[in-house]
Amino acid sequence: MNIVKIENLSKHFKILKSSGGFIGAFKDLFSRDYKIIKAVDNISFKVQEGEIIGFLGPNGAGKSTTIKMMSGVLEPTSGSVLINGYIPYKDRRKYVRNIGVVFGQRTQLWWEIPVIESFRILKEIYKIDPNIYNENMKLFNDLFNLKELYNIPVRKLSLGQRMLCDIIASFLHNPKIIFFDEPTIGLDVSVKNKIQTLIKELNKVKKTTIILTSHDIGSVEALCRRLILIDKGTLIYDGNIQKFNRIFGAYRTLKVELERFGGSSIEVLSKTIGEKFSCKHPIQVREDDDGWISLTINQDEVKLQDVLNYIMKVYLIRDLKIEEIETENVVRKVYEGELA
Amino acid sequence: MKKYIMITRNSFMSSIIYRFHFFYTSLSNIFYIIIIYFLWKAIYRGSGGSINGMTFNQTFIYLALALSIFCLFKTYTDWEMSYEVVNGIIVMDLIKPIDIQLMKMFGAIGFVFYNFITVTLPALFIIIFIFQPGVITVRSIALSIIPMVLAFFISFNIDYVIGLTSFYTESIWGISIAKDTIVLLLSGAVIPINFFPDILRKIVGFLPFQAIYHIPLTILISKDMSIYDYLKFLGIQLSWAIVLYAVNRLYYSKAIKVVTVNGG
Amino acid sequence: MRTLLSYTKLYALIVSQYIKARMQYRADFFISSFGILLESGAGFFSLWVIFHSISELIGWSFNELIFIYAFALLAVSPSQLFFDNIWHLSHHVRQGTFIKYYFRPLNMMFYYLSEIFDIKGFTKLALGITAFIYASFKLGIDWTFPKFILLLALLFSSSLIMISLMIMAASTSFWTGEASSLLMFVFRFGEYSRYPITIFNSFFKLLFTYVIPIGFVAFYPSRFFLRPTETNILAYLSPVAGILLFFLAYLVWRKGVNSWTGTGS
Repeated sequence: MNIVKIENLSKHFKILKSSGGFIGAFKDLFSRDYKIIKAVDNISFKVQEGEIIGFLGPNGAGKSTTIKMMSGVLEPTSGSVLINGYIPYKDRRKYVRNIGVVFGQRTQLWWEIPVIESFRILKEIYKIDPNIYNENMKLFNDLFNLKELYNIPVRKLSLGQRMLCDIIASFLHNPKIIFFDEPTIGLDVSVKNKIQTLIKELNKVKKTTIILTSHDIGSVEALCRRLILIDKGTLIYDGNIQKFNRIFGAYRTLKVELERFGGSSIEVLSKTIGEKFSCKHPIQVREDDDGWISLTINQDEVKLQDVLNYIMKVYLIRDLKIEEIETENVVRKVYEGELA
Repeated sequence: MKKYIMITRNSFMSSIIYRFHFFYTSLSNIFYIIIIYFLWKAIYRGSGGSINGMTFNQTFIYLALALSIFCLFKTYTDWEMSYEVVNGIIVMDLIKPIDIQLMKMFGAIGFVFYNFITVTLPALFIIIFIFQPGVITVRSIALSIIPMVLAFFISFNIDYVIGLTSFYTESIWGISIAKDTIVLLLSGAVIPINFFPDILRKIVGFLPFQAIYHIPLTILISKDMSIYDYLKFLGIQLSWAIVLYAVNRLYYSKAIKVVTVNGG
Repeated sequence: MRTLLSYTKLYALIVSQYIKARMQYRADFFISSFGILLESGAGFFSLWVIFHSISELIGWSFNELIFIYAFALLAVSPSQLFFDNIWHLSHHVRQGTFIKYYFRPLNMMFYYLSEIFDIKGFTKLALGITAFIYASFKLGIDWTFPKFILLLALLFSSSLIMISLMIMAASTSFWTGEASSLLMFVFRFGEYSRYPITIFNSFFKLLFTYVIPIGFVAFYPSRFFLRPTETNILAYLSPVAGILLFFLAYLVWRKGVNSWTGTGS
């Protein structure tokens, strides 16, 4: 059963062209110059009921715009969105009765009042049957004992506590589909785990479809079986996460701060590295804004240790870091057809 | 010194970006002028030309000028500081190697300078050329420069006091509104002080507010002010300027100890 | 479709919790109330000062003007009590936090405005009631039951006018991202509404009656009670103006909500 059906979805925006600087700012007071931006360009996909899918993409990719069209905030320029039998922006109030939305960065609960009072207000808003309400509260308590938080005003909760409350609040009215936007942002590992467990369990019990938007690859990995990647307004990957993992799982970024390293030598370094370690996926060498050098290495092909040893022989290393590959780099790789 | 200039410039630039703010505020000012024109015309009807020593023209010009310079003396420093305290951003100001009072003042100068160019200057032109050429002479403009600067300084310090109070109470909404109302009423900006009943005039003489509007305005529209009167006015302004500045330095050293930062 | 009763119940639930929470900020409440008292009282102060030098303003006495001003205060109190969140609209729009209002099965304007109930508005209301009673007494107005009902109806429509104008002004932020100065401009009109429209020349009289209907906020309804012998068709038009304007305001709001694109991409 497809709960989400998106076909040829597009969204175009008119943006005011702004001139820079002093004089430009004065000019803009009277300007009427617009340009068209294709934020989302011809996206299509379907989602089955009960799936948890991850929505990824760099900033500015069109992710939020797509989610906004799916949640009924924006009207598409063309194409169709059908979720749970509704056209979101058309029948907003009816549609929204059966969905949930959770933002990592701000709460949907009432800020100044105790958590449990927020729940009571939600009960009234969604006209939740008292039996269902009690059932759900029991379910939440069985999973995670959050009772001690209930009488505390939301504003006094820590970020992690607030997120947990927001999440259970979103399941309270038994929605068919819930949109999570960066639910794990700024949280420590243990809370992240709690949140991931909570979402997984509730999805299992209630078969709620979950659309997760996140920059946190760890969370995406833990929760999602399927990934949708959006970049520059188009859908560039829609498929199994394992395949995806195989690609970036092997990648590491080696970051080094080198002693006495002028900007011009980056090409030299890149060339020598390329020659020394020639492989199917060449090592990318870049200089970051802070003066550090990043080398993106595919460990399946080249041992990071070897690259490090080589650099140490030629240069003096002041400091170094080893990181997992960033989403932006993954997306770039996918865009360049790595998965083909 | 350069860093203070930068603060002024930034403040100036961000003011420009609010394109509509400029339009709406201009509209609001125009309507205000219209209202006071008709209101005072009505007040003067059947009065025989002069009330409390001022003709309709004098009163109208006085109030129109008050509006023109209003934007020079309303600094929003109190709101800015309260906002920073409530949101915990005040720490950013406190850790900078810049004197906060000076920093806020130069920020206010930038903001006020923008208003000077976009509101005060055009308004002055209109008043001089359309309404009453001759009511403001070059001499009176020149004489009013220092009083205006002093008036700004006094007004800024009053706002700064309120801003410092936010270190104690976080939100200063009520205090600020009260301050704005009192300043406008007792400074002669809404009704010329000439109209005040005697007891009130006496009380107002002991308060700093008339140094903000009444003094610069009187100097601006006076035809031939004696040196004695001019110096007396300057003296009053200077005294208040010094007193308020001193109060702020003292207050700051107390208030800084109390800063609690929000958020977490 | 949610009934009016259901919305009322919900509003009571939300607001009672909100007030309970806000009562913790006692000091803030008293200081703010003091501020409001001063701000609203400033009008009376001005009138008092002016009437120190004149005995009547184009035929209107001091007490009559107090009456009109009190009426104006009563007319703007509901907007302060129930619609105060309108001042923050441009902020929410700019920051993107407005988006959360799309996600509940509620009328968005209701949901948005239910977030803030400004208790300080009671201070303004109290001041207005006091001044109104004082002026009525001084002027010897005889309040019969039908007259009182008519008063309530006129107050209701006057408050609708202010509310509608403010909603329209604030809604412009959906397109321009900034509306505080426009809102301030409109709010000021509530202040200007306390003067007799007869002080203006014919052009502005028409403007302030039919285009920016501040005449209907306090003057025309008040004149009905102060000068019952003069023809006052305009007073009867007040409710019409109020309801029409509110519909218009709601339309503008809806248009704004539908065309807002939020922040982020």
